[in-house]
Amino acid sequence: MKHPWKVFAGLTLAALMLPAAALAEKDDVQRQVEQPVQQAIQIRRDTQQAEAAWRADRERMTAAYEQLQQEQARLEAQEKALAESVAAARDRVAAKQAQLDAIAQITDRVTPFLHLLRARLAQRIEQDLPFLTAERQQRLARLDALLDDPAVAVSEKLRKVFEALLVEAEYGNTIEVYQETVTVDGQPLLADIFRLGRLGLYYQRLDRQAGGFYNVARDTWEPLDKAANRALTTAIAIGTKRQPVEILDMPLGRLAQP
Amino acid sequence: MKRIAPIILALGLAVWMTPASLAAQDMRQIQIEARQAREALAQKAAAEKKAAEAAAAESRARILADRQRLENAVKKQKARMRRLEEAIAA
Repeated sequence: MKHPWKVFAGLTLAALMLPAAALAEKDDVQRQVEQPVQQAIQIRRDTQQAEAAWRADRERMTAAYEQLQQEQARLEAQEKALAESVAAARDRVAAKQAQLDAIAQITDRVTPFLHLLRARLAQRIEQDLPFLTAERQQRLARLDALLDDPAVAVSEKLRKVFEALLVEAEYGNTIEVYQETVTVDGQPLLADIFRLGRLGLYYQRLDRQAGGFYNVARDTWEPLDKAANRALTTAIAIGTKRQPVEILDMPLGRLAQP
Repeated sequence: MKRIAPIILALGLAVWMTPASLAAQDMRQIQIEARQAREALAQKAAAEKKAAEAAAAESRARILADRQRLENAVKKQKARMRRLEEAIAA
């Protein structure tokens, strides 16, 4: 033990080194234990925040999705209603088209028939007694214009043709008195004309002194004798409703041979 | 006296060093146990960090998949609605 102070110095140095070793050990604990734990905690916290944010996003997106689904349901209902409406409209169009086709077929068949009726009517007027000539010709002219007008429905044409036929048919069941200028013996004469249905057509001068009849066979107005003039006066009075109806003896002539 | 003094000092030192030696032995044992405990803690901490990273990755993947699925559903829904609106407009 020559240098006991050296031992003492070594022990002192060792005592001084102890806190440094303790500090190094503390650093190791911090690096190996505390840091990983802190990082793990931070990672889990970040994960929780991300999941919370995603839950909020998911709720928002789910709400939007559900709204879209509701909108889709509404649109599907609207589309279904529209489809039904379109189908119904198509059915109506098809029915109307069928009606139009039927009308076209009827028109194709009826139009020639109407022209035929009109021609027969004109022929009948031409061959008939010459009464109300202007009025009947005007009716024919109106009928021609009507039949030639494509804007007029065939039903209206049919109605007008039958109306004209009825008017002409009525002439056979009625008597009538009107004034007209006739040609007797080559001279024009304003006279009262008495129409007895379609059986006869008579005239009487306005002074009631003489009268005559229309000879269908000769297609001329011819005078009657004085005895017939009295009956003619009575007939005109009956025709103008100035006298009650009575039985008259009128000259009817003979049936014309065609 | 001069001869006895070092002997006394040596004996004194020996007497003093014996408990110190025993105490140092205890300290080393404690240090070993502390190091083992620290290593165990470090392993647990590393495992916890790894588990947290794995959970985060799984969460990110799940969120991504959910988001893509939902976005696709919304996109398809919008496409269906567009077709419906076009059909209605037509």
